[in-house]
Amino acid sequence: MKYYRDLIIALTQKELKVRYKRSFLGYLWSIANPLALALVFFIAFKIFMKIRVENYTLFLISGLFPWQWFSNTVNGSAMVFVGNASLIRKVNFRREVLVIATVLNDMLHFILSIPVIVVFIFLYGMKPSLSWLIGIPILLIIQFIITFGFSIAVATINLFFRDIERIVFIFTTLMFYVTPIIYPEDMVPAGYRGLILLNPLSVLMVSWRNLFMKGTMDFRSITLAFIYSLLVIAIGYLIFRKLRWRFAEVL
Amino acid sequence: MDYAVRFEDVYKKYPFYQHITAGFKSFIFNLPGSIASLKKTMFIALKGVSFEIKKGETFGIIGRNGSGKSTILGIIAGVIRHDKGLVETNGKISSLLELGAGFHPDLSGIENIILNGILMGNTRQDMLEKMDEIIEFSELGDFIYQPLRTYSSGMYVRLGFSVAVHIDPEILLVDEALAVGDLSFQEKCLRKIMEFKESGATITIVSHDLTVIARLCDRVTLIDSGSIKAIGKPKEVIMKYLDHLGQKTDAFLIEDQLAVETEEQTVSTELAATQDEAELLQASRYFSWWDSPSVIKECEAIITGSPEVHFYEFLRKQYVTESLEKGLSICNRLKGIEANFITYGICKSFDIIDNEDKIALLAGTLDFREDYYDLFLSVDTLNRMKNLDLFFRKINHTLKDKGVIVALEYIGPVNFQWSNKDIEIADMIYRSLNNKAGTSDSANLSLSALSNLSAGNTAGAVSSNDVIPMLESFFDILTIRYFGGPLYSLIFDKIPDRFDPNDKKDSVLIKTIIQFEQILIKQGVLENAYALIIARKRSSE
Repeated sequence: MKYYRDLIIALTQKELKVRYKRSFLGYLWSIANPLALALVFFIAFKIFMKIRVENYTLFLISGLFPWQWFSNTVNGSAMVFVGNASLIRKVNFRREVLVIATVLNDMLHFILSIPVIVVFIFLYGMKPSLSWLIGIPILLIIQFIITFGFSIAVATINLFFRDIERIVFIFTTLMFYVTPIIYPEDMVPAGYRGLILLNPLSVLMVSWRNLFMKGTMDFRSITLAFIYSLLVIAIGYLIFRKLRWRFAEVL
Repeated sequence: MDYAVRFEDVYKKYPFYQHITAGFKSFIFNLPGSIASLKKTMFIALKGVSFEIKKGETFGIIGRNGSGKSTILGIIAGVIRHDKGLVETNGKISSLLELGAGFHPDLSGIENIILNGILMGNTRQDMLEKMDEIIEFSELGDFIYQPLRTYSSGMYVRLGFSVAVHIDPEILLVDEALAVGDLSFQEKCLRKIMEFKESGATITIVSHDLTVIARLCDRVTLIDSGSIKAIGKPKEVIMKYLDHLGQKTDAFLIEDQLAVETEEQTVSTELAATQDEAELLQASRYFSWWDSPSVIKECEAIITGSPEVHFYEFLRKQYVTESLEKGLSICNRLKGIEANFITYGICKSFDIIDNEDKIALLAGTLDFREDYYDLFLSVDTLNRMKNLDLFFRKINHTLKDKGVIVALEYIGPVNFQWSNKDIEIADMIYRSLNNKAGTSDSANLSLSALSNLSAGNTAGAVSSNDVIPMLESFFDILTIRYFGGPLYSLIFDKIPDRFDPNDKKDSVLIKTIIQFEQILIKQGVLENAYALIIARKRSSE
């Protein structure tokens, strides 16, 4: 157990170090990207299209930040096994730790971006809620599980079909727009609401937003999100388990 | 349980994956064919392999490429799973399958040691405890704090090896990993492996280097197309393997060598590379006309002035009073020349760069450490440098005070042209060697084949004529010995694989060519195009 803890920490540290080794602004970049996106959406939807949502900037970033974690990890995961070919071919260790390290790494960036959300909360004259103390860890765990599930499936399949890398990119982009991040879920026509519930990420993202903006936690949505995450990890891990002995052969 | 590894009737087959990995599109568009081919094109890597490696035993696996050696190691290491049969391992495994697997160029040596060690199954605490020992063994010094991208390839593998051998495995897997770094580091690696052996660890070695196998192993198995052909004492199995390959000449050499081995071992079990042994090693590895005694004498006479004076002795006695610590070698084609420098006590160890891309990089961005080397050895590389001026400047920085340059270089005219008569002569020589080999049909030396012999110069590179003046602006030239022209180059480049050093006729022929060319050069018909240059860093700098 101690060994796996060390292994995961070492790999996550490596990712962190490598990512910012030669960049001057370092961690700021992980916030800059979602903030720039938020600005674009703010101009497009608030100023041009006059969407009627209060505190729209805060609304945007409280969904965008967790989404960035998810999409960065899943998009990046395609290369996790392929990029570590020499390791996988030659060293016997549990391959899933590579994926765990990637998910953890992006999770860390997300956690570090929460202060930005706090700043905006104060700017809009609100206050962080005490419920964050329970809410954030719970949602972190759920999102960790679901992100890991998707990532390990993508990383595995990409070893066999390199095309998956592109497909995943299209998939995350599409998912972004069908997940209520830039629009509130009640703007969705009643006939399509059911679809939103079917999207495993909507409930999660909406939960994050409600937690950040209102300090509320809806037990039902969180349970649903948790069930989805278990489903995704089950499928993802099954794919991985089925194929893991072929890794060294295809690399 | 007295065994460390046990294989019982192990089968392994690989499907050919290119249908899948070629891409989704080709897979889908060719679906029926793809699926059928998945079933059909299986490559059977192991067909019922059974053996047992006892605890504390050093076990060698030899065989041709693709015979299944690496699959066996992969299965023992646990990265590949067998399809059928029984595999049992007993003990903590460390593999030297790929040195430095998982190293990251942007992390420092220390960070990589920890990461690599943890990946191989140790805790962070373990690695911190062994850190000093590893750093010392790797001989990297202060480089350990630098990111890996600044390392030379030799330093990289040295670090990899150091980590791998310091994690106290019970079963050590070695895959061709012994030929790392310079000769002295190789010795050190072998010694470390001997230590393992003595401490009772089990070692499994896969290697093409039969000398190493003979030297280290207690038992050897020969694998061919997925099944075991022989298993037993190293010498017997190696002989069988060589018979198998039909390489009689090498077999004799190995036998001689083994004789030397056993003699030596009765005297002392210590691993000391005696001169004889190292020479034999050379002979079996770098087999070319250069190794023929009579030809060597001829060349020796030209370079050193007397057939009795050995080239390396000449270097040692005249220019290097005491042996130098560390050399940097950049050689384009004569691999292993550094080994002779070490054998004859000219230089103690070498960093070697023999990769085309790296050499190209040298003149550009790659930085050396300042004041680090005592000797710089260059064989046929200077005239390829695009920015020779800058390169010399760098070499000047990297050499210690009074450091020496030894260069064997083409310094002849840039656009050497063969006359028709020259071609006729060259063609005759070429044919006479060719006919012997029985390949008369293609034995015609074309003008184009010759034209690229004329000079090593590539487009944009410094003109060979400028090499010496440029060198002189940074270094004091101690000696220039001219030793041949275009004919020499012809033998050097085109003939080695046709020449049989054991054949007297061939030796005489090459000797004649060398003498013939010397006469032509004396008469001014041909120019001296190759030179041995020895220069020394100016101390005033």
